[in-house]
Parts: sequence; C-alpha cells; structure tokens
Amino acid sequence: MLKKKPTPNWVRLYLPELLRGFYITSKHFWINLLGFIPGLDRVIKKEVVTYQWPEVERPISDRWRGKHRHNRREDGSTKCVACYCCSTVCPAQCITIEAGETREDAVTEKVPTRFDINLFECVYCGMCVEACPCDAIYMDTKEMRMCEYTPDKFVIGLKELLK
Amino acid sequence: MNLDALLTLKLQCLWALVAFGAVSSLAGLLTWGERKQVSLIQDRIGPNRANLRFIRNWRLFGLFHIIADAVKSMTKEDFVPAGAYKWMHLLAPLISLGVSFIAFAVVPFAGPFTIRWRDVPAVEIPLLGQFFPGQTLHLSHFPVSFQAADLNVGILFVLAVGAFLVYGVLMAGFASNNKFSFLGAMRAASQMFSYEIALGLSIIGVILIYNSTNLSVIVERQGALIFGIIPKWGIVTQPLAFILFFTCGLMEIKRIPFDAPEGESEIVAGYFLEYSGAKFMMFLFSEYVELIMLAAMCAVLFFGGWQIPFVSQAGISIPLLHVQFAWTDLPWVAAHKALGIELVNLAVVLAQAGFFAFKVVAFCWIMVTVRWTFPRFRYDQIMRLGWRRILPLSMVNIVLAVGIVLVEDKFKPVIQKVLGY
Amino acid sequence: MEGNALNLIYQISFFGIAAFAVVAALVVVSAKNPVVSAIWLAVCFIAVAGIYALLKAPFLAMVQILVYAGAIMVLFVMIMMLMDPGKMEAGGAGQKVVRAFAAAAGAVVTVVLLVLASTAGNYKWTAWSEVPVGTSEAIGRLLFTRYLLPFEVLSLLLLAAVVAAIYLARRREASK
Repeated sequence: MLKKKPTPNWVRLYLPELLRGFYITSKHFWINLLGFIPGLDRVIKKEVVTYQWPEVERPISDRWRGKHRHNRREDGSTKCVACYCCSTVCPAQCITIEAGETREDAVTEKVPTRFDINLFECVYCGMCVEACPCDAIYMDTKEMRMCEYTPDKFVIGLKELLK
Repeated sequence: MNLDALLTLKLQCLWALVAFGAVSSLAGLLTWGERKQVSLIQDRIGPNRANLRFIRNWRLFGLFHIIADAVKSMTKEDFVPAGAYKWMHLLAPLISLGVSFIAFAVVPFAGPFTIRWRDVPAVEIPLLGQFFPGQTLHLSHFPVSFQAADLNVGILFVLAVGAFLVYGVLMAGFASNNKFSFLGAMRAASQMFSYEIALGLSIIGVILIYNSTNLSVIVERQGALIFGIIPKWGIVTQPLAFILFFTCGLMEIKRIPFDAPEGESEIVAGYFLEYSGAKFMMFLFSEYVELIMLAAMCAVLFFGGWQIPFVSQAGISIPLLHVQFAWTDLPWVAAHKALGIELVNLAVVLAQAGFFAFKVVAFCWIMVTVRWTFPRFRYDQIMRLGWRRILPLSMVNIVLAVGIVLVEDKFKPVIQKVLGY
Repeated sequence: MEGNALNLIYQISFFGIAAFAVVAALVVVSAKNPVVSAIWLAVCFIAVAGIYALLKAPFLAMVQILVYAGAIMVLFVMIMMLMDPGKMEAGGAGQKVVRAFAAAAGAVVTVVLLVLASTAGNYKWTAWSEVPVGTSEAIGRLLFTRYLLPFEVLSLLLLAAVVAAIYLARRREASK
C-alpha cells in the first residue's frame, strides 16, 4: 500500500504553489504569443505546439488512412476487376459492388459497373487495401475534411473514387 | 458660480465621458481578450473566425467576435421566467452595470496639468460669455485634473460602490424564482460581507502611510522616493496589504478562485441563470467593468497610479545617484520658453496616462491568468480563508503600518544624512 | 446672481432627494414582500446619504452607504431570504394592534418634525469646498479630542456585544 506523505509546510502555505501555477500558465501564454507570427502563419519557436489549422495544414503521416480512391490504368479507367475481395473482407460491410463486362481490344474483361462505399459505415481499417489483388483501392488521399449537406453524399461511387 | 468654476465643471463632465468611453471599450475588448488569452494559455487558437466579409479573410485575430457577440445577444429572446418579480428581474442587471461604472468617477487617470496661456475676458467667449459680463477666464494659470470627481473620501467612495455591487446579484437571485439563482445570491451575499471588512482593513494601512483618503493625494505622495532611489509605491511600503487587498478584491468581483456564486458545477450559473440575451450580456459586461475597477484600484493604491518612477513635471531626478535633469535643460525647451515648457508638461501628462493604462491592462492580464490557473475554492474554504486568515492578517497589517509611519517620522533625517543626498 | 443660482441648485437637489427618500420609505412600509421592502430600505438609505453629501458631510455619506446599505442591509436581506419570504407576507388579524401603534407613533414623529422645521428658519446653502466640517480629517480630530470619552465608551459597548456574540455562537459541548 502506498503511504500518504504529509503535505510539506511550504505547500500548506499555499502562496508559493499559487505562484508556481501562475508561472506555468503565463509561460505557456508568452511562448504561444511570441513564438508565432499571425500574419505570416510562421512558427518561430519550437516550443509552440499548436497548428494554426485550417490556415496551416497539419502534416499527415503516409500511413494515415483516409477517404478511399481507385488506382487508374494508363487509359484512365479503374484497375478494379470486381473480384469482390474487398467487399468480402470488409468488417463494416460498407462496400457494394456490381460487376459487368466490357470489350477492350477484343478482350472481354470484368469491370465494376457500380462500386459504392458508404463513408458513414466505413471504419477506416484498411483491410480492403490489403485484400485487393490488383492494387486498385487505396486510402492515401489524406483528406480529413469531409463535409456535405445531405447524408447521401457520403455514399461515394466510381466517379468520386476515380477523381 | 464664475467662469473658472464653469470651465472646471465642463472639463469634469467631459472627463467623465472620456473615462466612461475608455473603460467600456476596454471592457468590450476584454470579452474577446480573455477568451484569446485563455486559448493561448491552453495551447489553443481561440476565437478567430468572425469575419466582416467585405475584405476577404480579414479577421484581425478574431476581434470581430465582439461585434458578433453583441449582435447575437441583442437578437436573442429576452426570457423572463413565469414566477419572477418582473421589475426586479429587469432592474438587477441595470443596477449591476450602472453601479460598476460609478466608481471610476474618483480614479485619477493622469497627473495634474496647468494651462498657462493668457487671461480671456468674457467678451471674447462666444455664446456663453454674455451671461458673465465683466468677468475673465483665468487661463494664464488654470489647473486641470484628470479625474471626474476629486472626492475627499475617494477610497470610501470606492468601497461604498463595491458594497453596493452585491444588490444587483441579490436582486437577480431573488427575482428569478429559481433555487439555483437563489443559492448563488445567498453565496454572493455571505461572501461579500465576509470579505468587505478585510478589504476595508487592508486599505487602512495605505491610508495611514499616505495620510489621506483622497485618491489623487495618495497617488501624488507615491511619487516620493525611499532612500532616494526606491519609488514609495504601496507595494514597497505595504506588500502584505497588497496581497490581502488583491485577494479580497477578487472576492468582491466574484472572480475565480472565489466564484462560488456562479459555480457551474454546483448551481449551474448561479445568480444569472435565468437571464438571457441582452440582460445576460449586461451581467457579463459589468463583471469585466468590475475587473477593470479592481485593476485600477490596485494600480492607484499600490503601484503609484499614474506615477512614472523618477519622472515628474519638473524633470528626472534620482537623489541617491545624484541624477538631476530638468526639462528646461533641453535646448529645444529652453529655446521655446513658455510654449516649450507647456508642450513638455503635456507630453509628461500623456505619458503618465499611458503608464496608468499600461498598469491597468497589466493587472487585467494578471487577473485573467489567475482565473485560468487556479481552481475554485469550496464554500467553507472561502469562509475559513476570509474570517480566520485574511481578517487577522489585515489587523496585523494595520499595526505594521503604524510602525512604518513611526519609523519613517523618526529616522528619515538620519537616513538622509547617512546616505548623503 | 451667483449665490442665488447655487442656492437654487442645492434647493432643487435637496427636495428631489428628500422626496425620493420619503417615497422609498413609504414603499418600505407598504410593500407586501419583506425582501422588496428591504431593498427599498437600502434605496432610502442611499437617499439619506445623498442628503448628508448635500450637507457637506462626505465622510458620513460614504459611511452611511458602506455600513447601512452595504453591510447591514445585505445581512438583513440574506437572513430574510433564508427564512422563506413567501410565508412572511404581511396580513392577519393579530397585526391590527401593531398597525394602530405604528400609525400613532408615525403621527407623533411627523408633528415633532413639522414643529422643528417651522423653527429652523431660512437656511442658506454654501458651496461644498467652503466648510470642511464633514471630511474624514475633521471627524477624526473631533473623535479623538472633544468626543474621546463617548467614543471609547461606545467601543467598549461594541466589545461587550462581540464577546456576547461569541459566547452565544460557541458550541456547547457540555449539553451534548
């Protein structure tokens, strides 16, 4: 058991501790006031830890998982072949795929006619990216500001994914 | 009533207006400044989104939030609860705001200034001159004081206004017909009269040392130098009194760490719980005016008011180091004679007013930092601190002050001789 | 012209303040809710302080506000609020005797005041700065010279009251 130590007398005097707290808060104030130039959005002291978001973007790690996108081929169409791997592995079951076919250079290929991701249901686990056999789906857009006026805008389709 | 008295009266009215404008604009700034300061203390950005739209992205660090808040509070519904005393519910915020402004009447904002121009006969004065036939306006030597009312009992006036502040709170709490409001008002009342005695007693030391209850005289006497080098400010002669006064003052304006009357975690918002819109804004605003009042009183009583150390209307002087410099030694002033001296005096007065404003703003900064540093005291802790710690200490301080006065009377010539100034 | 104008200003302010004080006092006795009448009593005190100020006694005026309106009335209001003001509204048969006595006392006081007022004669107001009798210095000097004995006796009385209050408020451990 931890034994409680008696409060030392200089702490019980209260005033020195008050001054110590005052010193800490005012230190933060002056560092933040003087360490940053508002007009230029420039930090000149390394102790300033606050990002001036949204004026200054916060650096995002490459491993950060955000809004999805599809990889393209050279002709601009999606690399996806509608194999259903991603929708099968998806724990939130937010991916809806409908497959169709297309004739390109006299070769019949399977392509998705519909590829909807519900961003509300998505848990951003990244398993679809892992599962994809042809490197089609990625989550590296680094987009974190997703604002719309209606909820149906959050179900994104092929058009949005290929942007 | 003669022309001189009339001009003095007019200047005092004008000064009252100027002081009112200055204080209310500073209070308005503080509503934004406090939020900005706390955001910096807590490593946040704070309010900076309000935007007037006519210049793109021109936000002035969020200064437009003051306008946005004013518009918001004016357009909100003015809610009066069903069981309330209607007239008292309306009167409470008015009293709070009105009374908090009154105390500034006795605050000296700058040193005395003398107009040395020439005597103006009544005939030369347009409009008013015809009512005072044969008189002259003595502008050749006309003292101007930057104080709306030079009251003989200035300190008591401030205390009386402070004592009256609690009525706004009491009326608000009683008229709202809400138990939380009521509890807030009770707490405010009991706190106030517990600390008011200590507040009065802590000032007595200052009154004893500067031998006056007139605020302008107190400030003037703080211009003296101890040992010929230390300014004789209240903080030097009465450090204990300053701590006690500051604590009791925080209590009087109901600010953290003594804001039990509005303790959010216990009684929601205390006495102004049932207020909304413009009336709520009035309470908020009066709180900031009171804050400036306490800052001004600390500056006046303990930090020399408008006094700039070593600098006076005559020049710069530090007797111990044998530094003596008169403004008339400046070649430019000497060349321009009367006009030069007048301009220098005006510059000194402006510098004094600026220095006073700096002190007030510095104290406002300190009080805001105090608010965002310290947690709220529990109610019984507030009472114990007031009656068992601060009250006896303030009595001890009176004895100390008497001792200081006696020592000063006896030993001042001796010290002067020893140090050789 | 000067003296008359000054006199007029003082007269107007005196009667204004006096009328205000009387009206406030009437509300105090006629209000049904005790807290309302207590607040009006504070207003009345302030009006009286205004009259002191007109009579060149700034110290007394300030002390009147500070002590009566500031401390004592706040204490009154607080105690009244503690005792549930809703139940204390005036009325009931038992108060008729009290009312009769109050009316009689009021009549006597009014007559005395009228007699005093009729003998006072014409009073001339003088400017505030001319007669420094009500300043803190003058009052302090009087208290420690001419009225030293009454002053000390009063403080002894207050000391006795304080001791009595402490005795009453003390926890009685023997009875537990």
